[in-house]
Amino acid sequence: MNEQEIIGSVTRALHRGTRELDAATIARLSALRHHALTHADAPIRDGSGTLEWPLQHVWIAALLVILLLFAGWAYMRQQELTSGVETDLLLLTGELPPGIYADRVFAPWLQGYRR
Amino acid sequence: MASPQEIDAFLAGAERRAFKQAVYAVRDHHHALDIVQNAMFSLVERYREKPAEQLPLLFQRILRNAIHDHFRRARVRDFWVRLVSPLRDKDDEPGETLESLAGHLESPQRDGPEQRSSGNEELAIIEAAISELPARQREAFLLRYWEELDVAETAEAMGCSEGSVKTHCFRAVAALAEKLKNKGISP
Repeated sequence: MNEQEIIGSVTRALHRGTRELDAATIARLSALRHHALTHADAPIRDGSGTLEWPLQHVWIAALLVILLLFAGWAYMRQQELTSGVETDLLLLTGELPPGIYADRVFAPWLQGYRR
Repeated sequence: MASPQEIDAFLAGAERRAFKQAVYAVRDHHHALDIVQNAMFSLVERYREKPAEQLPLLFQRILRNAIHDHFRRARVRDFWVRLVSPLRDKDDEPGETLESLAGHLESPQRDGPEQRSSGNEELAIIEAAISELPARQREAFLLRYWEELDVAETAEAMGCSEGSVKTHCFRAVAALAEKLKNKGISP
């Protein structure tokens, strides 16, 4: 089987395949062509539903997710720092509730905190 | 500038082959129709000012890009689905969805009653062989020999060198010859 014979055989079969497309597909293609020719100015919608925007702007969506995660981490960090300052103030001013000295874990914690 | 009648006549002659090309690439009847629709819209919307003789090459480039966009969107969609569904069942892999199974049934490899005669069986084997070719080889073969573009036009449509087109075509023909020989089909 030489090259030209193979090419001829395959392309003849492919042409036959297009001729023998089912009627529903042929009608659909014709309708699509008509629609394209008459509504070409309308915007083409590739996606659907609420995921359409992130699907089409994946990098922007990924950046937004990263920014949200970073903002969450920064907020938690700020909360920890604020909590540390409040603890320092309570220790320095001696305004700790008396009951805390009865807590068995307070003394070890306080030693670690001073270090 | 191509008139609406010229564009209509061109698309009427090219739409079935375009649909088949999309089917060979994505192996899904409905997605192939979507791809052809997008390609038709793009051609009419963006290139209606072009001369009629440029339409075949432009349409092939648009169709090729539409097929690539389909795969790119599928990858992005899969990425988001995996991201938002970490507990998804392992059996629910791509290729096992109802959509893909439906696509498989509608692929050229189907074995429906209408394809059981020897002629139809041969057509199904040839279409399956085309569909199984690597994407670049399939594109080169279809553009060069089915769409009858010359080597330079095929290279332009594929965005590669003429040498690459010749290589892809050579390999595609060799692969098809091997597949058809194994299936006992001779020209």
